[in-house]
Amino acid sequence: MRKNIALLVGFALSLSSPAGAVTRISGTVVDAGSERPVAGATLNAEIGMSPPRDVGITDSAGRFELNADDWPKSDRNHGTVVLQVSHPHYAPVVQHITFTPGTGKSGIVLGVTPTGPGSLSQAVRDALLGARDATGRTIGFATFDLDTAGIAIDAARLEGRLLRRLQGSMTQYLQAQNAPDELCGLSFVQLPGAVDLLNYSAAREAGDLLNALALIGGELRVRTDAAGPRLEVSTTFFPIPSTDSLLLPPQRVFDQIALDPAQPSAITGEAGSAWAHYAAIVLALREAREGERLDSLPHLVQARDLLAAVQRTLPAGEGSLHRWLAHGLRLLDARIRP
Amino acid sequence: MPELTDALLNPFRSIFEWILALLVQVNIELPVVAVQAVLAALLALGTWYALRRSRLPEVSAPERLAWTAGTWIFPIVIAAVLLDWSSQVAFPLPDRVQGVFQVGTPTPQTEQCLLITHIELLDFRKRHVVASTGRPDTRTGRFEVTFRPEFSNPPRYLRVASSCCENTEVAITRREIRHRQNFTIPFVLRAGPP
Repeated sequence: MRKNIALLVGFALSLSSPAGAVTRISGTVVDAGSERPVAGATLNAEIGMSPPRDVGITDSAGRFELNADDWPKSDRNHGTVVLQVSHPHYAPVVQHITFTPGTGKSGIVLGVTPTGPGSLSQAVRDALLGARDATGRTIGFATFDLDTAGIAIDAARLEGRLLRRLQGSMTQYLQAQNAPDELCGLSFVQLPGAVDLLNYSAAREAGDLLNALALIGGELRVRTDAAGPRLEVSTTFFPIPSTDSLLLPPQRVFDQIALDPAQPSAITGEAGSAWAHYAAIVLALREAREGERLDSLPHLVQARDLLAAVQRTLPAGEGSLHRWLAHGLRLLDARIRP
Repeated sequence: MPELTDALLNPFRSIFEWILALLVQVNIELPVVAVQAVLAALLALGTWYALRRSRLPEVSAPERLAWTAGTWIFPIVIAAVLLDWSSQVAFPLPDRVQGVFQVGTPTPQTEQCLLITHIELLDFRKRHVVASTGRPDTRTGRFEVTFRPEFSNPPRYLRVASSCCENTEVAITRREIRHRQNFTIPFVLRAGPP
């Protein structure tokens, strides 16, 4: 009898969710002016209460597609996805798209507007050139916007501690991947206030002048709940080195790090692994660029080894980054073994 | 029906929140539902004790009157707690709050500012309610915040968190959340770079 009831329940459930139903959301990213497709744009999606995640990079026809079934059902049932489009040469855009759970939505057109030319003043250029790092192991940071939610916090101290924590996590990761010592010593340098990471052209120009590996900036929010205070880090990680065929668009990094309840400007938690992965990727991009520029095999091999290390250690949920890494490894392998 | 229970219960809810706010001042932070449960239990004991005292022959007339009043008032509060809980179970609030920023004609500045603007939900203690990131649509200014409803502690404020526009705070009610009120928030850019 009990078995029959179980079978009936199973049958009823199978009727309520038809086999093979996929909530697929797809569309195209186009240049808002010319309506031409935009390739290489990164799509970041947020559905319900799940943290935002990168879901893919547009192909040569500007197409993107994501499977909302990768999200928990409770989130998916809200029927709204918040899509953010980022591209090195276009202003980022956030759009709310409604979809039907179980079916999805197709034919979405996301228009993006090209960013104007870099708008750095001569004084800012001079300041960046003055701080230029000949070794190219620097990450530039724009002062973070800090929301303390009314808690008394020393903002500069918190920012300094966060950067030290990130530096430590990046170095530890690179050492664990057996990266050469000269690649492990990353440093942070503060960008002049006029450098705005949302102005992609200006940010890229600043990164090039500084000879930086990447630029980071964004928001820090101190939040408290029953588990104690924590720092919500919502940032842009802007990779600078690129090759003709290998370019990683700016990435969003969301992280939550525990703070000391007795002294909230002290960080007690560990930074997430995303920072370390991106640090290794930008180092690999720099090595790949040097390898192409100098036609040097050791640099290309080093780049490939770094990307392979990131691929091995990347969590399974990072689908679009896995695809990017696979693409990068294929390109480097083709260069190394012609 | 939910409107009627809300109208009946709102004074009691305000008293609970006032008690909780007092407790926070002495560093005691408890969930609303826990305080309601403890208060209901204490009042149940109080009712039993008041019933006993009011029947004792040696009790003076004014004291008897006070205990008799207790036997009426305490159960009313207990009933309010039970009604509040059943109302929340029977008529749960939606788990989202939506609205739009009054952006006017979108410009690159407003779009850039909307990109780093978030909507946050706060409870009556102005603590953050666990919710989605509350990023608005940079073209239309529309926003929708999904939150995890906490028993007896719905969002009470909607706050604009941004470094480039005015950080407005709007009080919201259960009724507005229930009726999926479309909140309209003025969007005023601050001077200077974000």
